Amino acid sequence: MQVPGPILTVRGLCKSFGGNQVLKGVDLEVRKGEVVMIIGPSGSGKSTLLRSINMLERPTAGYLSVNNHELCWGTDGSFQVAPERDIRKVRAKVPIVFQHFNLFKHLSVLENLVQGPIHVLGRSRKEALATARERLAAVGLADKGDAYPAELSGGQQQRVGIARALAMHPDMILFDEPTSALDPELVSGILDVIRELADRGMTMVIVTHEMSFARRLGDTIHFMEAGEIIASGSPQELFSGNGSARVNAFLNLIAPSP
Amino acid sequence: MYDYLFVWAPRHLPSLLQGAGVTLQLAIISMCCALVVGLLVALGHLHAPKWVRWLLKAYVEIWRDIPLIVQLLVIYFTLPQIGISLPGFWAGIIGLSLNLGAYISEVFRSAIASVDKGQREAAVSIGMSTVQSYCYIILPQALLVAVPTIGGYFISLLKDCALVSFIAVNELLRNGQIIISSTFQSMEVYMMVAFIYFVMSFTASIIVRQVERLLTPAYLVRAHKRT
Ligand SMILES: Nc1ncnc2c1ncn2[C@@H]1O[C@H](COP(=O)(O)OP(=O)(O)O)[C@@H](O)[C@H]1O
Ligand SMILES: [Mg+2]
Repeated sequence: MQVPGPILTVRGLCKSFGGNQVLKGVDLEVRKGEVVMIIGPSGSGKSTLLRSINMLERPTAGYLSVNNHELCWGTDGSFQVAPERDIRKVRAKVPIVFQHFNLFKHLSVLENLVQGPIHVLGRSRKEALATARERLAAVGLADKGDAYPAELSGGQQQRVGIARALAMHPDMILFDEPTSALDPELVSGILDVIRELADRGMTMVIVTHEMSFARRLGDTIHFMEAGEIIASGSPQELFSGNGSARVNAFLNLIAPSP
Repeated sequence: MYDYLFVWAPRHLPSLLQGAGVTLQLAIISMCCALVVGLLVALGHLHAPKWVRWLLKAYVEIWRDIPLIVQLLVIYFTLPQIGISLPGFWAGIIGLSLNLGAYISEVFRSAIASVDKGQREAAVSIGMSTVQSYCYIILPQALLVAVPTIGGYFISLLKDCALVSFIAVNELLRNGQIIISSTFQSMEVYMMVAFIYFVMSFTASIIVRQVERLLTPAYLVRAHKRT
């Protein structure tokens, strides 16, 4: 079903693992070209939210629509999920960049990049390879197409992860702590790549602990705690120190103001 | 000695080699069937409804707890009772396939489990179906883990095929015994049988190693060369 509106709409989204409610009614909207940052303490449900947007985790209640395709709707009694086929089609357009890269270990870098376009988007191999080379160049790894993931540094692997997402011709990219598994000296390189994507107008939802990065690049920042978004706003609003005491306490803990 | 090598052996060798051919056919067909059975059972363990999983578990357990020779005899003598009359060769194939399938299903199961779950997530998150994620991402990695063990099983299978002589299949061992029954030269015949088994197993182990090498991804070969 087609509904006009923002590229991502999340309303009252809930997710429980067994009896453990991890998302407790999350509302979130992302417009085309927007860069949305999600911050908050560990265990607050940030990854679960991101994975739910891609339907990698099945929500247990609430409404979710991506790029005008409704993926789930209804509350506890009447909760429904879109057919598997529709979900797969949407997924292809909102790829995730994972904290631990999750590159296909048995495939070369170029092969990593063409799997989705060939098998999911139905592109020809020739076309997929051309796109792959171009995306690889965009993340600064033009010469690494024939290398295997195990032969790359963490920073290079994450660049491939980003290129793999780009190869899907995405409507939006979801980043789950893309720099948390990297050695400190490799972090800024990845952040630069993401910044370039933002400059080129890519819509992105980014879970991160890099506060200055979130502050500089984010159009909107959401603060999550215990399965809820408890504060949202522009970086100025959220980092001004005038907001909720809880947010200020977190920001002070993670990046104490001088 | 001269008689043995130049008169006796040429007379009986064709029959033994023909038996070896049957042994090879048994082994290769059974291996292919066992791979299919093993893969389906392993996937069933992971994805089928609970009652199917329970049945599969029972199959694996039962087949691993009964000696292969007993399984072969049961199949060969029971099937005709329920109206299915199979030549010994095909009864042997069924017995060997189901037996090896039970073992191979466990190999596949642990090989699939050894593939990091992030691999499946990465595949599914870009829109691959479950079947696609298995074909392109999970199974190629699992196979690499499973190949050495499965190769070992193949060589065991080649030797276990001798048991099929008990259900009247004219394979290598039984052809040997037939020769003995008319010549009474047990030692000479069994020596030749042993030698032919050795040649087959040895060749098979070389082929298995070759296959392993072919399947090893380029980066591991490069890493190996560097050290
Ligand atoms: N697959 C799962 N099964 C059970 N509990 C889970 C699962 N995934 C996450 N959780 C739980 O959900 C909570 C939120 O996890 P997560 O979304 O990873 O938080 P964050 O990314 O903010 O650190 C945690 O308490 C975690 O234990
Ligand atoms: Mg997380």
